[in-house]
Amino acid sequence: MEDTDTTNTAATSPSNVTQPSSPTPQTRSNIVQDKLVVYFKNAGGAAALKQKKFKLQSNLSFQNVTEKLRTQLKLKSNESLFLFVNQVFQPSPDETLGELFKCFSHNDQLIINYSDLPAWG
Amino acid sequence: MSILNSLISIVSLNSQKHSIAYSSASFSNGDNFGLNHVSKLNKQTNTQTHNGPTITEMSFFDEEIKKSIWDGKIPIIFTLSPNDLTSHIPPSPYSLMAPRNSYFPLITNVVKEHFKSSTLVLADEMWLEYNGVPIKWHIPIGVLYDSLVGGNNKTSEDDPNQGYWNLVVHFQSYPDKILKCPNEEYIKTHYKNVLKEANYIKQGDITKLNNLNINQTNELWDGLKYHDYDKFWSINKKFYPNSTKEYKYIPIRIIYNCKPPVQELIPVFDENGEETTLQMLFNFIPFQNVENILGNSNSSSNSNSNNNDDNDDNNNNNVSKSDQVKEIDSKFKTLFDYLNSGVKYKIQGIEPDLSSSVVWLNEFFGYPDNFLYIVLLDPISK
Repeated sequence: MEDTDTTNTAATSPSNVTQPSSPTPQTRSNIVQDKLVVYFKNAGGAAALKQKKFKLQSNLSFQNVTEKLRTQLKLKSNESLFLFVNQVFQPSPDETLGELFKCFSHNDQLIINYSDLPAWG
Repeated sequence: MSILNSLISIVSLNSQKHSIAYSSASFSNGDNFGLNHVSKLNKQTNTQTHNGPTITEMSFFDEEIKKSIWDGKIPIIFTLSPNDLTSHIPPSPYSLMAPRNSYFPLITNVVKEHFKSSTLVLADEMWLEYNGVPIKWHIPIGVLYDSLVGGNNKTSEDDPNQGYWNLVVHFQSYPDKILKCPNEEYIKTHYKNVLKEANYIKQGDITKLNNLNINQTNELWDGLKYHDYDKFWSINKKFYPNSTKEYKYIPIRIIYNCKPPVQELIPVFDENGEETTLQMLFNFIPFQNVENILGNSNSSSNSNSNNNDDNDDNNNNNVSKSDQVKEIDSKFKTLFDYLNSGVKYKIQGIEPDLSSSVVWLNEFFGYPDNFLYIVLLDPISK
């Protein structure tokens, strides 16, 4: 639904290749974009969001992302919420969104699954 | 036959690394006790290489290196914060050898016991501080040490605490900046998730982790918790592919000043089919990707980011994030250019040669969470 800029998620994006300054020719890793698309998918007893995709700042910590989602879901402080990247792992609260995006996004979006239970723990 | 060839090339690569390990360890001022073993091995391995190594010899030495890295320890002196002291006589400091490949909550129960009788304020969790910086328990001890102390533990000759890492123990005012760790379950969950993350990068899925039965999972955790090499590695070895071709990417983290890590997907081979070396890795990472953690040492995650997609136009966003002393040169294209300006890096306390294979380093110098942590040292505090 929303379109990010012309980034490729693959590690070898030809647009980012600049003149190598060392004898070893190497392609470059992508530069982290300022804003990224995050797709929230619900599971278990957690409610679905009306709007599922958000453009978020890449320098947000995962803690910030969790707080934002909790606000969206209007959760009370005693209601639990677990967030997973690609149904695989729960990032540490201090990991930044941009770094997770760089490593785990597909088709220019990062999928975050959330549940009221530690579904993939 | 190609396997044999690659094995032989690994051996020769290894021997190069060992000589570096040896020279670095000799000036690392005693912060790398484990690496004394590596230095001894260095000579032996070199001889073996000249004589034409066999597979068994190679695996024997590799195993020894792995064990030496695992055995790396840091001498720490813990002192109770004067603010927390409620007894008439201040307690004696507590010292211990902390494993690099562990986490503080797994080893500090004895420290807590030691100071408990000297303080009445036990309302909060215990936390540690170094030079005013609260210690993040969820980062491996070796990474914390390299990042906070790095190469500048060389205090004056007559300092009786020379070579020791001095940490202050607190029992109140738990800082907001660091995660809480009320019980062992927290650290276990944290460890399990980072391990998953690393293996997801490494293989594209976490089948190997999910296939562990409950006994194996416990074995892995007990191995880490009790710092038992045989226990830990009997399971951990399952997470490392037998062939480099089975790797998707190499899980690495760049750390500066204990800030949130920079992560990159590092391919095992470059486009010419050559195994990625440290130098190639540093060249692979655009400087912009590490710029945020280098500037602005006070804020953790809210520092400003690169506001432009254009590589050439990054002069203007550099102005706002200059550190009080340090000026970051925006001319750097890659992390390698930055390192070339005289910045040091450390992996498990030493600076392996730029020609070291990253996939080899990941297995042998990786931390128990399967990430290879590369710590950048602050150029101003040298």
